[in-house]
Amino acid sequence: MSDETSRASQPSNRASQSSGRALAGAVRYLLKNMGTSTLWYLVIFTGVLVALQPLVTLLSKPDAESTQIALAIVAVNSNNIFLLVMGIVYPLMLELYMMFGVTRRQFARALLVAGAALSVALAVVSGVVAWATASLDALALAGVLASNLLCFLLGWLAVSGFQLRRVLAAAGGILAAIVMASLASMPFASKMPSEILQHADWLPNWLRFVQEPAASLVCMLVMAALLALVLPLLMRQAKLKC
Amino acid sequence: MQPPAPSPHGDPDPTGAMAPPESAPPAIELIDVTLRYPRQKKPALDGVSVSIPQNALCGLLGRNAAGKTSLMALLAAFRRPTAGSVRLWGQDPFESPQAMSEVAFVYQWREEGFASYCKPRELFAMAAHMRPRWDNAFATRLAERFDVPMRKSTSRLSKGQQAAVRCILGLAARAPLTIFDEAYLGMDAVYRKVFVDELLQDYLKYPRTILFSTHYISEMERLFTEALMLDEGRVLLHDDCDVLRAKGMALQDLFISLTLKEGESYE
Amino acid sequence: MSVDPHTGQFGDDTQVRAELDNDRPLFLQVKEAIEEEILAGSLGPDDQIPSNSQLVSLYGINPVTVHKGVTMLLDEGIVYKRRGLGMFVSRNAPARIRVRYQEAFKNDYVEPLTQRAEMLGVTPDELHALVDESILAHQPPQASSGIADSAAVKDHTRRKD
Repeated sequence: MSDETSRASQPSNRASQSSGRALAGAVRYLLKNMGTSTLWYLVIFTGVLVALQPLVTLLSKPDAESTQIALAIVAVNSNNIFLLVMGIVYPLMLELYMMFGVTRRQFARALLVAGAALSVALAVVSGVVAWATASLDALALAGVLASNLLCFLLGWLAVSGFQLRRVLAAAGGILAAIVMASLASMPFASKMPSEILQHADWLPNWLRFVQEPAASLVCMLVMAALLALVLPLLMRQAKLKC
Repeated sequence: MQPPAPSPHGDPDPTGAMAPPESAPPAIELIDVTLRYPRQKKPALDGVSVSIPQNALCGLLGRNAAGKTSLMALLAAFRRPTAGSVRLWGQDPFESPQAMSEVAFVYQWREEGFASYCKPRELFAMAAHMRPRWDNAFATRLAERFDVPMRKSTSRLSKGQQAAVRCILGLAARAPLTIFDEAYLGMDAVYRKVFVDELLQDYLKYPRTILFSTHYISEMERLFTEALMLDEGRVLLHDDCDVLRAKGMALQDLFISLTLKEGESYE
Repeated sequence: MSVDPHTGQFGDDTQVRAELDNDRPLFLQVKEAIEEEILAGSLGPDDQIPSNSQLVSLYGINPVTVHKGVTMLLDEGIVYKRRGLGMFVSRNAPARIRVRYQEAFKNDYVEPLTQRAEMLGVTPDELHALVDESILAHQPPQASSGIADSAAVKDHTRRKD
């Protein structure tokens, strides 16, 4: 921008460039931000695991293999919980991002992209942990990925009611999240973790709630898809406190 | 219709070029806008119709709860009107990516909000990512001028420094529509003068439409080309400032005489 | 405005008046401020008047207001524009301004003076005496001082006119 001519008449694609920049910028910044949080989490988590491992080995059955499986399960669950927390915290930053010219829809999209990226990243981490302890199962990994993503979205669902500023919606949001979480593990709720540990032939399927991995995977993916459609719409109704 | 981009001038007399072409749509247009908050009988804005041309520096005056912040929130697409329509450069801004990226809304964020936990450095980084015309060099220079520590989280800054951060975010964004909602609240008199100075100089170099709400009327009234007065959600007055002054009254006195309610006294 | 480092007192060495009233149109005041400077001689013919940015900075007022005032000066021929450089005082500006202000002198200064005198009970004769006294006080001392002194004084008087 160097002369007066660009001031008088605006080329029509300039504004879409700038709005596109807002979205891309939001995604990049979100990823950076979430990435930093994730790194901290991984560092602390690994540190805690490494510190606790000898203790766990001491207290539980002196079966190295089952300890490793238990650790793998802990890793996966911990990742799920981490993503759940991220899903709870980040959508609440809507107003902050809107201050920088990002629309609700753009922010929702950015969250979906960042959440998906994070799910993949942590699934990879889980895969690495699993590789170290048991044989890799593509389906199991897909299940891990799906459960990661679903946890993120469930956290988001839980807070979206609060963003609507209606008590009923808030309660409904949390309820819906709990219901969906149960549904995700329902086909396999009867299986207790201890049983998984005891049955060595289920080694490839070391996810706690996966017995028939295909069904669970489909169930989780359907729910995730549903949420990915609904949550941006809910965000559009979010009330701001400016 | 797209808003014009603020661009630098080499012309020693750029002010003449500030007036928008005749056919340009008004930067701000409210058509019979009503805004009602839930569970409140009285509407925050009641049948407001306003038209503000491009590149105007308009002062928004009103007593507390007159509807100033509500109006600004509507323009920034933070809220939707209950009735009537809002138009920026002829478009509805709500959920419009083009409109929102061209509007900078500067207001006092909540203490419990996420903005308080960010450091100025982070806020500037966010702006650099998301604001298309963000000038980081300008922002850094302003941060030095206002003595803002960049690495302390904003909740731990003094009120004046927080205000400075807000104002810098507004100024350096160079958005074609910049809205200041008492952005300088908390700044001492010297910093207020610095802010006004920087605002005017940047406005001169990069003309844009500015809406500026204030309670310090006599201090700020010289900034404005036009003044918009709101009272209890309605437009009391909207006119060119010098036209108002030609009647022999300062803007502050005019404002007080118009908005003083029966039973209140002004010593 | 500057502060004397020894006495701590203010000195007024600004070129243009830095105070504006809020109850009169600002663009007129900008115009008048520049005219006063031309009248006082601090801005002579073909001198450049302060640029718009400088005026904005000095007064802290809107650029459009400044532009309005300067445009009025341009329209009245008090200043002329040199493209790319700025606004300059016209040759005949001091004379024309003097004429216009002289016409306004009666209304702006004489009328209030006589009214005030009447209100205070100053008789016409007393008023005349006061005016004469004032004129005398402002006149340069005539004969006694040397040539150099009187030249310097005359210079000073011319600038004050």
